[in-house]
Amino acid sequence: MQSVHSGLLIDHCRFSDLKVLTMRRRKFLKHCTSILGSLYATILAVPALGFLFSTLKRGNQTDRTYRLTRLNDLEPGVPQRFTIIDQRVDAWTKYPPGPIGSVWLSKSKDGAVTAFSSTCPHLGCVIDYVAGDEEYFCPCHAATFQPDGAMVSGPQPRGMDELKTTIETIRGDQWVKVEYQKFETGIAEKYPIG
Amino acid sequence: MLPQKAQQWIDERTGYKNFLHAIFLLNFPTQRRSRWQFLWGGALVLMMLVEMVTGALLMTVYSPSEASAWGSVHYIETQVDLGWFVRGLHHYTAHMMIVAIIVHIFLVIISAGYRKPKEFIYWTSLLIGGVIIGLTITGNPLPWDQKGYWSYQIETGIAGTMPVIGSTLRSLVVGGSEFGNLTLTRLYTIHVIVLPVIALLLFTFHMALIRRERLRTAKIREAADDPEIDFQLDEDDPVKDEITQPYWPYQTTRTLVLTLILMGIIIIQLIVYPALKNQHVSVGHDGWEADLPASEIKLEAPADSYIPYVARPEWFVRFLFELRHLVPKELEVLVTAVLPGVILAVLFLVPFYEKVFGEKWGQRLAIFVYVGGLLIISGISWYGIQMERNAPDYALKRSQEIAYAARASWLASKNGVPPEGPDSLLRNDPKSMGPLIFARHCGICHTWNGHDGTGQYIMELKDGKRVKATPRASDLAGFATTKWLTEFLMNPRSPKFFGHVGAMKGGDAILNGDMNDWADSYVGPEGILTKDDIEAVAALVAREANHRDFKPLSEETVKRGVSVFSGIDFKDKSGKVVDFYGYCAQCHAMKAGDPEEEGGGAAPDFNGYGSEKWLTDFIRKPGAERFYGDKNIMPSFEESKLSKHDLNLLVKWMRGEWQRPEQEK
Repeated sequence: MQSVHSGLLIDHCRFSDLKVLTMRRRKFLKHCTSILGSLYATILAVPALGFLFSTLKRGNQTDRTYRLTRLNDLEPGVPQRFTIIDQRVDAWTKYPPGPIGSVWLSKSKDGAVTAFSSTCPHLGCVIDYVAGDEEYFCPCHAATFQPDGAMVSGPQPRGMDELKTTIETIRGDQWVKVEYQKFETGIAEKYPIG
Repeated sequence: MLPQKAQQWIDERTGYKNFLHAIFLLNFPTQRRSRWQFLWGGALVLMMLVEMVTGALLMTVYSPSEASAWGSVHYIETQVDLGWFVRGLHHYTAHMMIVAIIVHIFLVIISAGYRKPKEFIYWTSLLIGGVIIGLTITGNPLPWDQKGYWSYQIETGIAGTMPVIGSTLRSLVVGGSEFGNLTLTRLYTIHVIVLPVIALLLFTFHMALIRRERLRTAKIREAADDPEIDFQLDEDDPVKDEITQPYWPYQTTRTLVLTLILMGIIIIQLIVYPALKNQHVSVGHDGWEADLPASEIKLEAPADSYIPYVARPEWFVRFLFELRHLVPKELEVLVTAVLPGVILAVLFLVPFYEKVFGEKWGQRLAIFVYVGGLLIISGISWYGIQMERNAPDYALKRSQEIAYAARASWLASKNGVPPEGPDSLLRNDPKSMGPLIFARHCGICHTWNGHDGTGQYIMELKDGKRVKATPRASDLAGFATTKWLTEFLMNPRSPKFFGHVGAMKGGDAILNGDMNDWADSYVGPEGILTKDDIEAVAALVAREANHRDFKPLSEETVKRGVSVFSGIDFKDKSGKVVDFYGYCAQCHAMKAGDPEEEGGGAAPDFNGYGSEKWLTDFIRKPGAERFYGDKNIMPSFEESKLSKHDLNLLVKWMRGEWQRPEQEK
């Protein structure tokens, strides 16, 4: 009851001054809280975003060229599959050299070499070659391709992915070199991963 | 934020405002005016939030298995952007939380926060403290580096000494009797699920109790004249008339200030401490130089029970570890199981002190016990750390550990971690394994720069005192280098070479054998050979070893060396061609020094002397005809004694052949 009495004693003018002061103080503290709070959030958010997004760099491939076979060893008109052997780095683990993919090489009668990635552009299965039908065939969803890589039938959105080839002469022998790349699957455009 | 109308629309349908207020104490009346000393609890909550965010981030990369834990943490530290910052924040915030909970409980005690009806508030805060310590203990071994591995060995060892439940408890957290993949998966489960859930439940209970208590006791109406109360409460809410100063923004501002100060300290610590923590040791004792500067070593070497490491527990359990060494073995259980129990009981019973001693003296006793206990514990820990650092071989052991840590980090950055696991980085590295293999197999007789390869000395008991053992064979540091060979030829009887072999069975034939007679007759002031002659022939033989820093010889040196080795065209001091009967080819075969193909035979073959193949063959069978033959006194090291893998590492290490940082430039 005492406090009520003393409250009544405060004259009107002083009371409103107090009110204003309290309000200012409160506003000020609210601003402080939001500024300090955002500082706190920033200290957490900036490293968090950096951390999360930097791991996305993983798997970005570097184009690498592989020497696969002597040109003379390829039989004209018969595609042959070659395995790409390389070291694979997965985040912190470095694996010893092993298969990382394969390519189909075919030589035409006039000696021109074409290379196709054996990864199906539909969903990434490995494409076979059916010698009797002279067709590439993916066993997963029955995608078929012509020997020149063009679509025949099946669910695939594009033809087989052609890879760049070069011929290099080493000690008198002509060698076929292929620049191995992986492409996004399931889309009509041939778009390299990474 | 949302416009007023929308806020109201949602609130009418969910009552979220009151809900938020209840949960986060936003309109919570602080019992008195806000005070700086009531901030530590809030700061702990905000730090716990930091732990949860950074912990979740680390979980996206960390992989709990023996083969990948160390590699993934190393990847976080070196490859992930700001990974070092996130991991550092997680690590140092955990330690800061232990400090904060110690301060928080102290402030609770001095403000009598345990007094009726607040006993359960006090007890839950103790339990939360225990969970935080548990989180730190289970978090530290997760990188599976030497530090975490060995300190967890100690901590689970301490748990294992508890009577009755000890061994079951230990095997339950270890996942069997030995450390392995299951230890890590269990640690991980406890660290990321079990303890955080317990902590959250305790926290919820703690806050519910505080809310209940505050609502009951908030009687002060200081803020009754506060014109702007920006929250809505039901008319019949008991809080309505009891508002003093709301938690928000009065207390939140102060809590944030404290939290940010603590986080500032943490950030300074995580930037500065890695570079400072090894300042007290001079790195590089006895050939243990580190491949990386101290500031770049973020992890100790991968966990490996074969690689030496001095186990040190975390600072807050260090006192148990030290006390354990101070008491006799039979009383160990007192320290490891009874003492922690007593400490817990003393803390838990604080609310009842006042029943016995009255309010005033009860509280004084509580303060005395708390502060006194902390001082004693810190004293014991400090004493233990000082004792360890002042130990005579501390600098050597620590520089060995740092060298291993740096080596593993450097190899991992350079070559990547192999799929079989990070311990193979050091296990296949001559620089790291050579000294250990040498100490184990060769150090009993031979020395390396006087020590056993690792910087330690073989000790033996002599007249009841431990003294350095006398070696029994030559010192092999620099074996087959020009310098080593020159020194040998100048004085084969020196203790560095054949000096000690006389003590062994059959050793006299070597000590006082032909090589010694040769040196007596041809070297020295009266001898016909000059220092240059010796150096030339030494260089010629050292060329066979072809060490990595061997410089091509001048034609003149080769010619001179050949003349000493074969005796052909030998010139004396005056440059006159004379007959020389002390030529090496009489006994030693070496095509490069022997144009007449005399071929030696009576003494070790020098073709490829000191090369990888020569050393391998020699160590496998020193008594072979090519080497010492009948005179041999060195044991042979067959596959069963020394594996091919280890022998290869040993030989490579003796020849100084390993991947070096400077080669990469």
